[in-house]
Amino acid sequence: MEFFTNDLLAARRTMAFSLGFHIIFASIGMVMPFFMAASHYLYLKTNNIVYLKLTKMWSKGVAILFATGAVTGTVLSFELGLLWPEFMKHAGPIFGMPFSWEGTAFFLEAIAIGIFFYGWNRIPKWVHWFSGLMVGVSGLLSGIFIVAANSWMNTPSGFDWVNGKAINIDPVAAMFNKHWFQQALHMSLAAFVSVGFAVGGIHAYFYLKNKKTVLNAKALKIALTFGAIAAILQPLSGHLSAQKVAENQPLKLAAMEAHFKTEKRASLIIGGIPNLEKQEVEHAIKIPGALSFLAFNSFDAEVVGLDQFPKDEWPPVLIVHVAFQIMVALGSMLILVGGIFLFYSYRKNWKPLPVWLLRTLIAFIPAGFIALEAGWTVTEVGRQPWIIYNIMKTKDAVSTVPGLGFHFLFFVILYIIVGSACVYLLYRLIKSYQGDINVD
Amino acid sequence: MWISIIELISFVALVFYIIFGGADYGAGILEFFKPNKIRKIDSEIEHIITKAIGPVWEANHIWLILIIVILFNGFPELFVTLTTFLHLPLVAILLGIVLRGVAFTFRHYDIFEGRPKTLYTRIFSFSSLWTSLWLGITAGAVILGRIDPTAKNVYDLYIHPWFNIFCLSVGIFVASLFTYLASSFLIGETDNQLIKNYFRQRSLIANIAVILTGGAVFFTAQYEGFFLMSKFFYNSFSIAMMILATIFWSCQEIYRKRLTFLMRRVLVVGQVTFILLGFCFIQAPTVISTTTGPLTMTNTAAPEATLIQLVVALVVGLFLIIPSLIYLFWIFKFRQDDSKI
Ligand code: HDD
Ligand code: HEM
Ligand code: HEM
Repeated sequence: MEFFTNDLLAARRTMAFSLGFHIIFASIGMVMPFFMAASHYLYLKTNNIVYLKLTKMWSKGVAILFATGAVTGTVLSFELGLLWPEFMKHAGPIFGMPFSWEGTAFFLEAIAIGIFFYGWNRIPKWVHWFSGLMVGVSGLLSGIFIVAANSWMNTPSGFDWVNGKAINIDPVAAMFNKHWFQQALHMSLAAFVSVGFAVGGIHAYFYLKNKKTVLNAKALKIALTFGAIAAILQPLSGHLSAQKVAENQPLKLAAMEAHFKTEKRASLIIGGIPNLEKQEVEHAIKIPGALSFLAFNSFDAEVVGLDQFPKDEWPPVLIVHVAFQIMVALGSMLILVGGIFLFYSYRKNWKPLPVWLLRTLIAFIPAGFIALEAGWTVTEVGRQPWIIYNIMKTKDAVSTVPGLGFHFLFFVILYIIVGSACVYLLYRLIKSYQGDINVD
Repeated sequence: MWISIIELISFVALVFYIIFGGADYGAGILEFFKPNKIRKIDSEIEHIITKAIGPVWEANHIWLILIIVILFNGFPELFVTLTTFLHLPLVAILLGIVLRGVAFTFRHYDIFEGRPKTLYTRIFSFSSLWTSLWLGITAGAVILGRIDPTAKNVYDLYIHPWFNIFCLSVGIFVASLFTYLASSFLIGETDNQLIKNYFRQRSLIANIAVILTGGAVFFTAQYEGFFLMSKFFYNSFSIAMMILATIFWSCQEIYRKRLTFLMRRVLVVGQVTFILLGFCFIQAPTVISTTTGPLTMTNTAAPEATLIQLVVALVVGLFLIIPSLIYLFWIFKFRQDDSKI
């Protein structure tokens, strides 16, 4: 297998896999606390016991997922050094600032989690509610900080690169790099979309299966209200991201769009398979001028194509293009489903949601997470061959420790076991709550 | 000046990690060495341990992350040296951290009793021991000075620095220390006399183990040609620290039946802190000893702009963290337990 002979490849796969795994739990840790806080709030206001039960059920699930998020996050912070020492040696002092603030956010999050999970009936109820909200707020903050670190890799700033060394380091400028806001916004919304649709869909499933219990109906409504609103905002934020990419990483944009030739009035390509030999996209729908408009707000703007760059600096065009198409396609469908959901749940004369809509929601359980992973693939694979864009190549950053293939294999096996155990536990948890409305 | 502030904060973070995080590991080790004959109070002990570390382990764990962040932000050379030459022990630690965290949580939240629970307990207790050992082995490798960036073959580069009896004995020492902390803390977590006595007895055994394995660390160092003993005796600070640790320890032993649980904690924490200080004074200002010379915080520091920013982040952070942490511990550790969880 190639992994065992090619340490660079193994390191990249390990990083991709551990991040792809962590992000699922991290998103849940960022978003579920808000759902719980909403349900908890409704309980405190209405005294409806169903909301209490829902809050408790969710908080048990979150405890399981949160622990997994915390330990996989710990792995990641070591892995930055275990896999990419050359990168960290140079980048640590520059992009470390968001990490050092993130430390505080993690702390507050972990403290709030302890208070919230174990504080039932021990502290004043609104203080308790507030601790739950703080879990979400600090989780969201940690997500924003870490994404700022990532956006620095895409649009590095806050230093001068002279003879392979960074001088004049300005950590503040590095943290507030050109892309941080767009990326942080887009990621935060993405977390709400993915978790909202996943949780809503799961409750739709149990709702249909278990003769329409109130618990599931309420859960579905809270989760999908958040999810649907975020889904509607998501393309706007994606558009802002795309404009930043067009401005600062034209090569990545060209790869996303499989845009081979520089041209004015560039057309937006939907679907299709890029043919690298012929340098064109086959079987695609083309909308003339749309790409120019999306990237630069003008139908006649010139969009730089792959032809402007040496071939050995191209990212893997096929992967980036397909991943981008998947994200946008799912994003568009999620707006539609989300919009329909909002219409049916908030119309004047409330009626139960139609079965076909519930079935659709079940089908969309993984959609948000798939879009999220696809989006990260666009960002990260699209940056290749650079680890710090236009500054340092990934191949120059990798560790000299041999046998990284085993490292990869080791963590894949470990995470598969941990991940399956999580799924199994959650399934049993939710099932155990499907009986009558007794609060434990 | 910035470096000194960061040195201080890092040391505090390390002590907190060892005391609080260490006690959490120790609780797992206690379960690992739980004799079979106490089946009667088995589930009770498990319950106490869960109740004691459940609310705080995530927070206690962040001290480690804080240390890592300080290293890679402010002192990247230190971070990279660790992650390169101690790759294997660190992966072992990570394996332990992952398994321990999830097994502990799963045990608490899986609503069904029976087989899976026993499995979680086994994983939790074993990985607590495993992680403590590897933490100690890593610490041993850091001070032993066999990290050799100029080495040519895989063994000398990545295995030789930590694969020896000195590092192993530091590992065992650390595990005993953690167990000692855990058992001393746990005495105050229950009103059941039977269990109190059980933890008392464990704390005594662990205490003896700390002293014996601490001695073993010096002897194995000598055996490996690393003259820790003379370094220690030439360092008046270290000797002072050991004397203080001994005083705290004696008070604790002499008054063992009469101590309030708060006093006992203070004494135990003091004892452990002095032991750590003693070791740190031997090593300071070196953080990692290598064959090509010592790496200190001063000779690996990032540019000043980074350090200033790091200090600001840490100080502001601690102002937010410390009060919240005190609140957390106040709710769960120092207040009458007036409800069931
Ligand atoms: C639920 C998830 C989700 C959905 C529905 C969308 N995205 Fe997205 N997208 C992400 C989740 C995501 C992400 C995983 O969160 C990324 C990766 C890095 C980032 O900041 O966000 C991302 C990155 C990303 C980038 C690359 C940014 C970069 O490389 O720095 C662009 C241009 C877009 N998105 C554009 C869009 C558009 C036009 C969408 C229209 C429907 C869209 N995204 C929907
Ligand atoms: C959680 C969301 C993220 C996902 C799913 C993700 C995904 C990926 C993928 C797929 C790769 C491999 C690219 C390739 O080899 O072709 C990668 C590489 C990498 N990512 Fe990310 N990434 C995420 C966030 C981050 C963040 C926040 C950081 C740092 C602050 C980061 C740092 C890196 C590094 C250092 C590499 C290795 C070097 C490289 O391939 O460029 N990633 N990531
Ligand atoms: C290189 C990339 C990353 C590193 C080094 C990293 C590191 C960590 C660490 C150490 C923790 C544990 C904190 C705790 O115990 O509470 C953690 C948890 C968390 N991370 Fe990451 N992380 C990375 C990527 C991301 C990304 C891309 C996001 C989100 C956008 C994210 C969001 C979170 C959140 C919200 C938590 C809280 C725990 C949870 O909810 O499960 N992280 N991460």
